Amino acid sequence: MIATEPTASSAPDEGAGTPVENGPSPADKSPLRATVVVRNPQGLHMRPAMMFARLATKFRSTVTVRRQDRAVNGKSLLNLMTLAALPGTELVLEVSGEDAAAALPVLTQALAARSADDIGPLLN
Amino acid sequence: MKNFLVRDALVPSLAATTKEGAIRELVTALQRAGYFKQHEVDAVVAEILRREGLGSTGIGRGVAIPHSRYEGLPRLIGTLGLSKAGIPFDSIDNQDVRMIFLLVSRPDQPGPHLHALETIVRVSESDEFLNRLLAATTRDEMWEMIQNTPDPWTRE
Repeated sequence: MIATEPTASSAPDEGAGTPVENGPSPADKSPLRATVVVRNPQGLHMRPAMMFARLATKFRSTVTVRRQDRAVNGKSLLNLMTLAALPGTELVLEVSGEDAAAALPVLTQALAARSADDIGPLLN
Repeated sequence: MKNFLVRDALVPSLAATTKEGAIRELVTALQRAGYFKQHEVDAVVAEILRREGLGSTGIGRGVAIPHSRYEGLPRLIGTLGLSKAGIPFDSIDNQDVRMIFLLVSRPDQPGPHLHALETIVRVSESDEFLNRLLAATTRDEMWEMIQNTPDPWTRE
């Protein structure tokens, strides 16, 4: 399948084999990555996807969510819904930009949330 | 889409002019098609409206996907209603909705629900599809389009 338009970022893809920790240096253009397993029992359905996208939009960094060979814009509800990520699905979160170090842990927590209600407090 | 949309419940021209009215009209159409008992309609409508209260399911481009889970269904079911006039829905893009995909899923089957959402999002990316769908005036025309549209995720 052809992936939905992935992301506005033109940053070079460093390859899926890049280690999770890339260092927090703002001068470093390579994205920070985390592997996240979906734990919501209903999967990444519309409400958690909407709240994740809303949270991602609060950061200036580019946010990309990968599922195997597909990559989508983490700030787009519609893009996230095309992942159809069931519970147990392994996703790779990639954050790239000046506030990436701050964004990664928060977005990781949101993507792994068991309930959309757990994402709400992260938005404040 | 043909796997979850119920042909006999399709509504080519919604009479309702409000979100609540449209949801009730579509749930009633599913009830008349045999998927709910009459006394269940209020509960299903209330559950869908409760979900809308947590955040509108109007995804933009004139499309909304109101939905809920409901115990006792044989499988995920859904229907589609068209409104030529448009219905206020608090959508993401503030536009009125003209195509309402209403889904009711089994609580223990998230997979079909996620795939249905994916399918609707993907077909909604096509202006051509949306324009042709909106031009349909009968249930048969709607069903023909639905039948001839492969579920995007099955191509994976």
